[in-house]
Amino acid sequence: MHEVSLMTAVLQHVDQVLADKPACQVKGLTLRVGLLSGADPEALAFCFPLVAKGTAAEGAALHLLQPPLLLSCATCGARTETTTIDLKCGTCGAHDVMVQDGQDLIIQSLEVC
Amino acid sequence: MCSTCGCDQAGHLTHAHDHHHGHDHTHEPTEHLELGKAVLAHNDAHAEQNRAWLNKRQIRMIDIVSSPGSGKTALLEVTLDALQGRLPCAVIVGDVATDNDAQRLKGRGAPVVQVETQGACHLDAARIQGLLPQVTEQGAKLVIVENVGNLVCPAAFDLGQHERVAVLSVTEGEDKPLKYPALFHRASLVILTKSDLLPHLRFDVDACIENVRRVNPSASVLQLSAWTREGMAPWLAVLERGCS
Repeated sequence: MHEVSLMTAVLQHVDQVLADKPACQVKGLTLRVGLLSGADPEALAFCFPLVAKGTAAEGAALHLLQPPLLLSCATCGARTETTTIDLKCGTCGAHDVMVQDGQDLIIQSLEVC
Repeated sequence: MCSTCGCDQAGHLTHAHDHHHGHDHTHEPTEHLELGKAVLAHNDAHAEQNRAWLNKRQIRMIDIVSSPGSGKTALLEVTLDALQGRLPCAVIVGDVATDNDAQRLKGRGAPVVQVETQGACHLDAARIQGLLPQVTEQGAKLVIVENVGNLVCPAAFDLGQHERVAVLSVTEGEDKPLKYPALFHRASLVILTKSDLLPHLRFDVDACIENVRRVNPSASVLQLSAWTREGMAPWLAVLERGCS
């Protein structure tokens, strides 16, 4: 359950972003949860109201996006998008692929007022 | 966009459709802030500092991750015994509670620091940063971090290591790499431990290696027994080669 640590880090970033806007409230918070980020969307959603309580993000709508993994093949150069964690090229089937996107947990955007 | 009614313009009160509610709420314009910020950027910055600190001193660091009970500490016991007089090592051990592992690893020629995380399920780069000067002051060339036993949480936290080693015991099941892909994806080496038990189990080594490949095509896989010492030589060679 490291999602509490992760969500705490998210809200620290939000605090920094809003440092010069002390009257602002966060209405919406969008995160990109990479399939290989090691973070579980359900656990993030579960702990968000608890961690956000008393912060500028209390009551905000949490949007969790889980984009497909983006792979690039070192053998044939093709790019593959996949929603399953089976790291092989969709074109030539080689396992020699690099993960271009999908390893990180990213704060994509905020809606504030 | 108004955060109350969703209209595109603050103060925009006219529209074509009819309904039975008024428009007496305050239109609050919201501002959209595009960030694209990695949540663990702060940890990653500490990790890069750790790597730079280690590189400057020509010290190598490896992070060993696994589930509880996979045999990390048993592996380190025989590893430290074998490397005594060959390669100066130091160990940082993370556990939620107790210093039992540190007690087992002491007296084998390497300074050992136990971190009790008091409930936290992983080590982070800032915690390691505070320990590196102390643990290397006797001249260690290899720092081995035994992370908290957990196949989920340590995956995302870069400590500043040069190599991450995932340990998987043959009593756990060959599909663990598929069940915990984030952790096995980030390991450059996977060690199958307790191989002396294979004759008593239905563990399919080839299927396990194939599962590792599916989540981490470039990982190396070693198989060993800390109990019989079979297979230890290639592991020791990896450590010594990395520090030469």
